[in-house]
Amino acid sequence: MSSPDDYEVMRELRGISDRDIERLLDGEVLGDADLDDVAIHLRNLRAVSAQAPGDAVATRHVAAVVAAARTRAHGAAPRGAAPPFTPAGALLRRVKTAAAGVAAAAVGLTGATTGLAYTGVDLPGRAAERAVEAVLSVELPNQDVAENRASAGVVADRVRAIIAAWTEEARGCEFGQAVSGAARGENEVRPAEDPCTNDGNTTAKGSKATGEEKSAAGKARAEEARARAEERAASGRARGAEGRSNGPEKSTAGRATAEEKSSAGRATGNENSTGGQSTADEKSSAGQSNAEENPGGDHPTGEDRSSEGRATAEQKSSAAQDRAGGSQ
Amino acid sequence: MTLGDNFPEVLAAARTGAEWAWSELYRHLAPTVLGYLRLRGAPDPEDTLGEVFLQVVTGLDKFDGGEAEFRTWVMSLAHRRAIDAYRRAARRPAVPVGDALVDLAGGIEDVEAQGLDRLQAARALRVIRTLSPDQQDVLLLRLVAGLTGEEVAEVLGKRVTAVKALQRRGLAALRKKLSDQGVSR
Repeated sequence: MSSPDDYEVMRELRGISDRDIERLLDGEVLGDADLDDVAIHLRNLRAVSAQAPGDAVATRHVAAVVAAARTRAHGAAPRGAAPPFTPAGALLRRVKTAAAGVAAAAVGLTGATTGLAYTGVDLPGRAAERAVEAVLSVELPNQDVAENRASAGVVADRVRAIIAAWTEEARGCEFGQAVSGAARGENEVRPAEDPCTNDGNTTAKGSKATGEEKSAAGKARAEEARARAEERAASGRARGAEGRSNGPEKSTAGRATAEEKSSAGRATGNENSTGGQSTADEKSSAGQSNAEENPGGDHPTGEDRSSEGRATAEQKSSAAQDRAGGSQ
Repeated sequence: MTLGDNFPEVLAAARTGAEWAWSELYRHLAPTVLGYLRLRGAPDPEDTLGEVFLQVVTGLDKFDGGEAEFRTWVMSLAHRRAIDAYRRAARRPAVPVGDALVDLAGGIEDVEAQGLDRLQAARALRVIRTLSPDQQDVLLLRLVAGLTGEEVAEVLGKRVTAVKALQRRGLAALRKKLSDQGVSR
């Protein structure tokens, strides 16, 4: 879209034909003062604009162009042709230089890492070792993986044991210290300065508690522990005395219970004996009645059943008497 | 300066990699291409000139035409390389007009040594640099490269009518600004 200025500018050339425009561009004078001034300026600009490059630049360019043309024409660069300077060549050289730098840095880094690994330096984690092993396809010495894994497993087990040993409610500063110590690989938590002595809400470092306060707190805990120990000892003695006094009573009661059980056993035996006898009589009479009802049949006779019933009843009776005698 | 009737022979020899042929082509075209690149404000005109000729080598197999077409094709390559050079230098400060003028006039500070012609050329360039990029392209391709309106349209990928409108508007602006400078002098 044209601005008002554009419109004003265009109005100045409204009366000029395309042919005059061409003459103006060629630097011809048209007889109009302003346009002639333009024509002269443009003619001078054209006269000085075309500038041949310097000889050195021209030689470089031509050599590069000829080499490129021959490469395209014959498929290969001519032998003995000097490598000319070209902008594209310069760019290519820069890219090659940068790539060589990156490659050298990568090789140097790999070499340094490998050297550290071979000398057994404690590299940060196994990642570097695995990377070096993967790149070089070698098994690095002095990097005892099994030992490291076993050590890690021991530490993990130790931490798990501490976590399991502390109840949820009892976990506090000491618990944290114990876990921390186990994770660090310490067998026992022995901090140079107990961080759990400052009211339980701050760590040892940075605590404002004085030594005297800590000492007093320690004494108080010691007194408390001693009192608890004495209390437990007294409780133990009381339970021992109570046990001794209860002994005779429990012996008497035991004997009484045994006699009661013995007499009860005898009574049961007699009852069973009587029961067995009555059952035998009942079965005998039942057998006789069956025999009378079913004479000459295939089934056992009433007398047979009667005699079997009596034998069984006598066996049960004697067994009951044996049990009764045993319980006495 | 043209190769005239020798152009087909030169072109054929250039295709085979003949050094003399490329020297001829370079001698005839390099000043125009370099002048356009300089006045258009290409960041590194001589390097860009070398890139243009290497691109000519690359595309020469596909070229088909006479000397005028060859010149138009080379200038279109130069125009595209100049735009690429601007883009590459987008993070760098643009080439100051003064640098191109110094290249052009060989030092415009020494007025007496340069003469009125060079001073006027520098003034014209300074005004052209104030025009829109399209107007600059049209005027410089017409003035410096000596292309016709149709050839400029081909280089810029525009219609001939659009090129004519651009050159008319650019010349009108040039006339007004030169006139204003004359009044202010």
